[in-house]
Amino acid sequence: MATTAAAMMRVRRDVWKMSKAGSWDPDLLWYAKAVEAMKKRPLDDPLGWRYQAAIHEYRRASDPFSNPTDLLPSQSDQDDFWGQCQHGSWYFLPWHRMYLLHFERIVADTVVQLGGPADWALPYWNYSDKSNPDAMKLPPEFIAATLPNGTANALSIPQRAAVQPDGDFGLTALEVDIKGCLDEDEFEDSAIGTSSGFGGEKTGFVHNGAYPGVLEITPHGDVHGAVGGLGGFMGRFSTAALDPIFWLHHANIDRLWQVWRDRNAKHLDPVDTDWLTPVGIKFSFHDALGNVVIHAPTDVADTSVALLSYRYEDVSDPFPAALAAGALVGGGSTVPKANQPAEMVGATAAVALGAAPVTASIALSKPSGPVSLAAGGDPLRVYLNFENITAKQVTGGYVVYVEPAGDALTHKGLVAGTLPMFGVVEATSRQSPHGGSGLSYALDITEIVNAMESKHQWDPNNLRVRVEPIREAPSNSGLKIGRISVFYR
Amino acid sequence: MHAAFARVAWNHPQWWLVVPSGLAWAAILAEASGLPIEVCRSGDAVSRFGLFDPQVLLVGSWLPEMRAWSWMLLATMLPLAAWPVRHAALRSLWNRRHRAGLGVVLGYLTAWMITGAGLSVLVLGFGLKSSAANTSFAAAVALLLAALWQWSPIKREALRACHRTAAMAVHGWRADLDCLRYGWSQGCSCVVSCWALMFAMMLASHQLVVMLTIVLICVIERARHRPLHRQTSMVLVVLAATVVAL
Repeated sequence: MATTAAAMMRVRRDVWKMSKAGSWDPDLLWYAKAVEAMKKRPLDDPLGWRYQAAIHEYRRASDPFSNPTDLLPSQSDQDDFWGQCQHGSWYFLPWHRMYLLHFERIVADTVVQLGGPADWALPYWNYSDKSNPDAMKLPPEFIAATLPNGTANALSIPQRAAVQPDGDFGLTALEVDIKGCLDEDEFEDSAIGTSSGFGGEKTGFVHNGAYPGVLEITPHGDVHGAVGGLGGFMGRFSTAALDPIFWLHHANIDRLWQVWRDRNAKHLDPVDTDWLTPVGIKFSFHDALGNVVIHAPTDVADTSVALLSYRYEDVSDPFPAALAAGALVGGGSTVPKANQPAEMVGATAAVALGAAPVTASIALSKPSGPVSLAAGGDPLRVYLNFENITAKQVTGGYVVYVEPAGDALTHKGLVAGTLPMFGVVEATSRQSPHGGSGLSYALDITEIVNAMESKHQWDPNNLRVRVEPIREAPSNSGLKIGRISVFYR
Repeated sequence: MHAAFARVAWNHPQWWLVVPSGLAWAAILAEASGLPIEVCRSGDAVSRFGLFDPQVLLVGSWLPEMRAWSWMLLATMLPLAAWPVRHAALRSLWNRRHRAGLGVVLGYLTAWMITGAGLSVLVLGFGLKSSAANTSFAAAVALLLAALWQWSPIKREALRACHRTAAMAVHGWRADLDCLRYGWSQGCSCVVSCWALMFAMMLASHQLVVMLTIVLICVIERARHRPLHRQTSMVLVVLAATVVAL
């Protein structure tokens, strides 16, 4: 029978600091042992490894561990508890916080059952830590084949992108740049053509929404795609949580929510009751005792309350004002958003992406709507939209450059952001909530445009964009962008 | 006031759908309240119940049925086009936004009108409205059929497709064509999702409670991205029993 570790204030620590302090920090060793124990539990056990992963999404046909002896939960239980992850939605952050909360309690309880301490906490992976030259690599505890006692290490799995012995798997600084998301002033922005805000646009219950928020794009989607590669667990919704690193990745995403809130008094969670206590929406989980629990985002807004009782080792602002440097990517502008819809001013036809870079030229019209009524007719913000991105197979991410006018041949251009392809196959499926519309991203390029204007490199009639694969990309994934468009606001 | 309305119109370019839909509801409610106006009452039946009469293929005999269908469509299905209209409008150049929305509506309504023509031929051809008793019976059967359809995986997929977005051309005839195609695609998905409900509504068009219940089901399902098949099929079965009892 499961016990439950007392609800004490757990401290989630930086996994790289744990690793650099000495090989196999006790909490990492216990994590490995707990994962091993959880993997032995059957598929229909809510406290089991596979059940926990299925909460994110489950596809029987692509279950890498399926076997004829599996007992699936009832259809009703599958409907209530499996395939519940919220993406492309303002519920992305609170839902994943709930998910991690109960996972952590289940692991902590398993640790206690195995003879470990009661205060085990889930570490986080701060891949954006510029003070750590190894931050973007997998910690050694996640690639070592064995534990110190010679038994197999459950934290090391082959289903990842190719990993070098030092943990390098090709993750780039662009993919973990967090200035863009941390500069977003609003949690939610549901205006068509804009960036959806830090946390995502307002939706109902949506398992795979079309318009992710800035944090969900970078670094969340980028890290999924980079770790998973073309065939690894982290690259698909239905298998992502089978990789033990998934939980540390999402602990960091959860931590960045706190970092965002703390760094600016204007950074506030939604006060809309549709977010706090949505009517008709149940986020259901099992606690460490196997009992059903139902939460609303208001329950998990504050990690210090009794229900959550955890904090992060470090939620300091990585970009204190005195040391502010230019964003590595275009990022969120600190220009205030106008309270009006964005206007589309130009778009391409469909663009196919593959192994080679693609350059697109977008003819821009003069705005004739709300933007034209503003003083000077100049937009306060400029967004680059990549609409209806679809693919038949898992593929890698892309980086987007904006080419200053007259500068195309000298260098690649200014980095606008990345287009991670995590979830693109799922979003292309007709089973997705939007019937196969694919993913749509909006990158805030206001600062890039302002910089180009100041150097007389901005052409108001045309914008050139270059899209390049971050790493080797397959040419047969069927990856296509419905159109690339520019919105002014 | 003007500025406030402008902001609503900017953010909701689909607002104008309220006008034809509202007029249709006003006409339907006026007829239901006994005013001398013919909206949902269709013409006299020409066929015997159960046997297909090819005479219905004469245009004149099913025009009244199509008139009734059109009013019902404007009242009940047109509001469901609000989301794709908004999508197309706000993703078009500002000075084309209403044209884009209109293109979507035309494509959407075309799909439904073709469906209505087909269903009208069935209703009239088989004499499903040849008497009040036959109409009630047929309406009840249609409601039971709709209850079954709620469980269909085809319905579920169609409901998801109703939330599909599309990338459209920016200028000229290509943009117009893309909007028409998008509207047509949305209309077809809507038809597959809701045809059984609309068929039941067609047969029970004089009963306001049936209309309002069906509209509520459509609106709630559209908002949830998935059917409430258990609850809605129970409601439809109860409605079927009510129609027969009355």
